[in-house]
Amino acid sequence: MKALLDTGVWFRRYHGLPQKSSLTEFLNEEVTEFYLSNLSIAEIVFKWQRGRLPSIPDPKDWIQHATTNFIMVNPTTNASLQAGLWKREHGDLVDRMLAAIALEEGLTLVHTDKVLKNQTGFPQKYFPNAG
Amino acid sequence: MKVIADQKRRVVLPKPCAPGDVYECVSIGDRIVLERLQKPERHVPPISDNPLNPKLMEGIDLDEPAFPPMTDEGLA
Repeated sequence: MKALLDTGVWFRRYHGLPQKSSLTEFLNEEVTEFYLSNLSIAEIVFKWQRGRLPSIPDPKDWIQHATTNFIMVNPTTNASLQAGLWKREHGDLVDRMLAAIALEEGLTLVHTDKVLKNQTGFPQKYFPNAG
Repeated sequence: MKVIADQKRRVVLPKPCAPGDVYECVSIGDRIVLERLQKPERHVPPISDNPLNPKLMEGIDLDEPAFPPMTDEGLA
């Protein structure tokens, strides 16, 4: 399976934070190609710069390593149009963009977002957060 | 080597064909060529050598939007 990792899934996995065993197993066994969007990098760095991730080392020191072996995908014009037009209540722009990228590129968006899981119209796989 | 298709067009392939092998079947006139497909090499992203202490992340919701939407807006 070709999987586009949501920002949180990517971040938790890389930093060795707890995640459900079902998610670990899925990533280890089912995923054949790992995709990541540069939007996720921007999202994490934005949070870090504003002190919302106070215990995280400077992203400049680990971002390059953390993106190794990922196929990077970026929003196209059509995906951006779709992300904006979706008439859904979920207003997280990054999530909307990731969903639209997954739809356009034929990827499965792997995430732990309880709000996003109720949205339809794109390939997704939801796992609850650990704890 | 000859292989004979049964009533449902099934044949048993000779060794070294193995159960689970995947073949691309190409018809060229009267010839049918089976080409064994290889699994693509899997490139697994690394995990940090210095894992974060989960206690330092307590209370942080990574699924929280970085750019919260305005709460009083709806579809135009």
